[in-house]
Amino acid sequence: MAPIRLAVVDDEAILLYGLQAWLTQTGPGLELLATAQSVAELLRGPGRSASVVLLDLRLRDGIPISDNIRELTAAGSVVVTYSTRDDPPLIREAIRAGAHSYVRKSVDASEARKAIEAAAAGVRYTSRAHAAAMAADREPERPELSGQEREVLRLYASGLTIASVARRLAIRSGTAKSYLDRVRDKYDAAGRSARTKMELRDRALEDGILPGGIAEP
Amino acid sequence: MSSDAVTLPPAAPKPATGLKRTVPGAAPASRAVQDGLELVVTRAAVVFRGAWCAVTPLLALAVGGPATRSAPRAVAVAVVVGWGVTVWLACRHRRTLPVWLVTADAVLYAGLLLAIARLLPGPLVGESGGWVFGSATVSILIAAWRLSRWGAAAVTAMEMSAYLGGLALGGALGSPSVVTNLITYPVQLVLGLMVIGVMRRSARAADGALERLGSAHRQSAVDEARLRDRQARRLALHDTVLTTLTAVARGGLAGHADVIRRRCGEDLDSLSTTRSTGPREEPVPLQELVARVRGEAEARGLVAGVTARSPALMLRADVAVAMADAAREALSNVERHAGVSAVDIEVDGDAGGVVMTVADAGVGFDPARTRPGSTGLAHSIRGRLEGVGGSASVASAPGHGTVVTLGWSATSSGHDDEFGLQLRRLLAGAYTGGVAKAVVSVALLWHLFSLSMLVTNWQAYRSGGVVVAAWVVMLVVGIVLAVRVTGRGGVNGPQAAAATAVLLAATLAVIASCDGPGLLNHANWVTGGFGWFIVILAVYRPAWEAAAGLAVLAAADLVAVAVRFHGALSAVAFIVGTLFSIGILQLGTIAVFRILNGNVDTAAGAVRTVNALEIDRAARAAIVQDRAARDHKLDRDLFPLVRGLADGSLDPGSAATRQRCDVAAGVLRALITHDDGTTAVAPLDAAARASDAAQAHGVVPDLRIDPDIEQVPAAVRDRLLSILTATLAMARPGEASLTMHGSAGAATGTVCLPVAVPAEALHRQASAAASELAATVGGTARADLEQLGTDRVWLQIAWER
Repeated sequence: MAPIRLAVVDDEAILLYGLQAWLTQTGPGLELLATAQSVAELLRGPGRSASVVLLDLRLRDGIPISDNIRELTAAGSVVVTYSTRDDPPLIREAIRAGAHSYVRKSVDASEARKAIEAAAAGVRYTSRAHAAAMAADREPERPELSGQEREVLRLYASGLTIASVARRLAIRSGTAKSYLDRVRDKYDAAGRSARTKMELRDRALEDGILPGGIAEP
Repeated sequence: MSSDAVTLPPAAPKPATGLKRTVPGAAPASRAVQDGLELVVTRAAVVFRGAWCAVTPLLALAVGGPATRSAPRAVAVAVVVGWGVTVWLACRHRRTLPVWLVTADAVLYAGLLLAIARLLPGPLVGESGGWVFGSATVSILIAAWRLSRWGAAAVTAMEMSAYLGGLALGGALGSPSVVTNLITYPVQLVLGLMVIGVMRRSARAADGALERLGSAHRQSAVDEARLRDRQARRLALHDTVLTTLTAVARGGLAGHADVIRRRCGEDLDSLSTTRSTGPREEPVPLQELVARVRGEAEARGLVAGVTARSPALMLRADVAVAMADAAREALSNVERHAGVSAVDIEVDGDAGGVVMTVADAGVGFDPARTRPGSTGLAHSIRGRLEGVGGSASVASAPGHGTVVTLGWSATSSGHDDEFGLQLRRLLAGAYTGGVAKAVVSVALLWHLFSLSMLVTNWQAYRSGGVVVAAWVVMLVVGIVLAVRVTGRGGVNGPQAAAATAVLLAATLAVIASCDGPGLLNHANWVTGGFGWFIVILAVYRPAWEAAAGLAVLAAADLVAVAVRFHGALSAVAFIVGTLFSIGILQLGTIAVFRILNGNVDTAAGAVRTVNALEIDRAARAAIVQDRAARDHKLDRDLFPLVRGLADGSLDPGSAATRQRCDVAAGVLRALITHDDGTTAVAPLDAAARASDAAQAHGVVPDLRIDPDIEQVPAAVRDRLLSILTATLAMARPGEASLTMHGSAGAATGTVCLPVAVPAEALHRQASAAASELAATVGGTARADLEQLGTDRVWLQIAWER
């Protein structure tokens, strides 16, 4: 399998130094084409042929993150954003602008690696940091779920059947199903339809109800 | 300039010597209300005098005169009308009544009084209803408002002498009403002086209140800007330190020891400058500001071309700090984005203000494309300057460089328009209270004065007993109203209606009791007295109620006179003159109340605003103090690590150092993500406790404490956190995510970590702790555990009331 052609945009020079070592700590399969301090700089050099670009979420050049992402997407790259600290509104803006994932600049590169590989395969990856940031975010489109509704959604979306969800929570199957129906109605009312089990799983991931670390097609 | 120059000055700076005292808390004495009062006086004078001049021809012609074609009367009427127009023209664009106008008015009416016998029919010369006598009272009133006390007394004496002289010339000195009429003038003088005195005092008081409101507003704006600024800088600084720690923890920096040392040295420097080194409040010379800005430029490797005029100019300390901070932002922007190393700095100032421009010829940017809400140029620069009453603008275009203009002027730091309006309105509250007391005094004085009229005209009543009873009833009502008005009770609708009904009944009884001539002379004292009581009610009731009361009185007088005199035009004109001379003053007072009453709510709002601002300020002070304590603790842990990296005593490549950096980065991240400078204390405390526990167990904390846990009962919050942090003791080195959220009736905490013990053991322990939680604080609690992959578990503790 050909290595993934990667480029990195980060305006903190100190983070660019150890980049190669960090990315390869999880094994081979990545080819770092270029690093740059801005998207414009990257697109002027060899980095413009990268298939995946790891983009700093909080570049301090005054350009909105969505503009940077659209420019990279237009140049043919898939974008994975990353940052030292999670900024939920910015993450949301980045995902809406077409970024595939958000990961944190942490010591462990495995999340970044998973996100980059998923992006190269055209798949979204919800990292733990992303899920946690979304759980903490107060987006107006998020329905208010009760404790039980949240639990039923979490267990069902993690792959259990209705019957096992009911068993886990010591409630009747019918009750578990009615909780799930209420969850569906609430997401419908919020304009974020969740009729199928896959859709429910997506909503649970988006809203941080599932703990993340999951790739989604 | 030493590093304390960036420290913001304290809340209440001392007056700056050599500078205008415009510092917060010591604003220049405001005169807005007192100036507003002058305008009200001027307009009232124009209205009163103008109204009399307008009705004079009608009254003069209707009453008739000594001859059918009286030349002096025609001349006098023409002069009066001309004078009314003159007064209006002279005051149209003036805020203050001219003294010459007041004097000329007094002289003109003294002349008319002297000629009273040539202007009125013989029987009316000694009576009060004639237009000459009535309109001269306005001269006394406006003299009392505009001239000094002695000047007004002199005008009164002149009018009295002229009246006596006129009567003597007309041989009417023996008229029974003369003494009462003569007393009317000094009574008018006293009333006029009293009203204006109370108004002036309340205006001064209102100006004082406005000044306090103004300084509270300015102080609040400054505090707010400081808090925002402090928080933004705290965040920015800790953000760069976080990046450094992350880079070191990640490793792969072998061969770049110099980069790390330099970077940590810079971090150390900037961390130290944020520490408060004590207040600074003395004015700062402009050259010190220039030197500081030049230093900032050079520290960034920029070549600064500096042009500074008037270097000895002294700047207010807070202005100098705001300017220096804003310039630093501008320079930082040049360094990071302009792509050039030359920058032009120009500073110019005088006593009226100071302007600084920071210009580069770099790549520039499109101001319309910057991220809204980002802590970019506009926010950081404008926020700083607006806090001290200055302004800033950023001009840039791609490829054409950037020019940042920072300005502060002594005048722009004053009240803005909206605020000025609020200030003006505040006076109304003070006026209304003062005027209400003045009117109560007027009403009671007039009523006591009426007793003398009642006694001297005893023979004019059909039943003296009824009149005396009416007088006593009105006195009682008056005293009750006075108590209500001067106290805090006020007067409500039913009370006002009852008072009006009783007063009206007494008044009608007196009018019905008067014989024909009595209706037209002072025997009919209620015509004047009733109105003043009604005016008291206008303080608390809609103006139309009082106007309606006066209209009923006027109608009763007119009907009574028309019936008794069989519709004689001269008698009707005479009573109209009487009603006019007394009613115009009362209607004018009601009109003033109407305006003032409309503003009372605004005044109350202003007071509430001051209170709210004070509360905000106290809250901000508490936040600043709380954050200072937290930063102190953080820095105590962070400083040795960064210093060790900066001086090379710690090896950035060693596993131990990298692990330390990793944990420190987690703690720092927890602080940055949880504290936006206004966050409540509970989530911050929870984050601090979890950070401490993680640090103690060598685990990298990844915390998400929702601000809503503020609502969770403290006992639940505390135990939930204890259960979660206890699991950290069972973690293997690595990252542990910990979340908490909840409400008053439910709370959830989760922890996701690599464990060193079997998952079942952890679950058993957590379940036991959850049961104990439910047993101690009530409600239900459960523990859920999920195995994530091979080495991580996810544990959730949920509590419900």
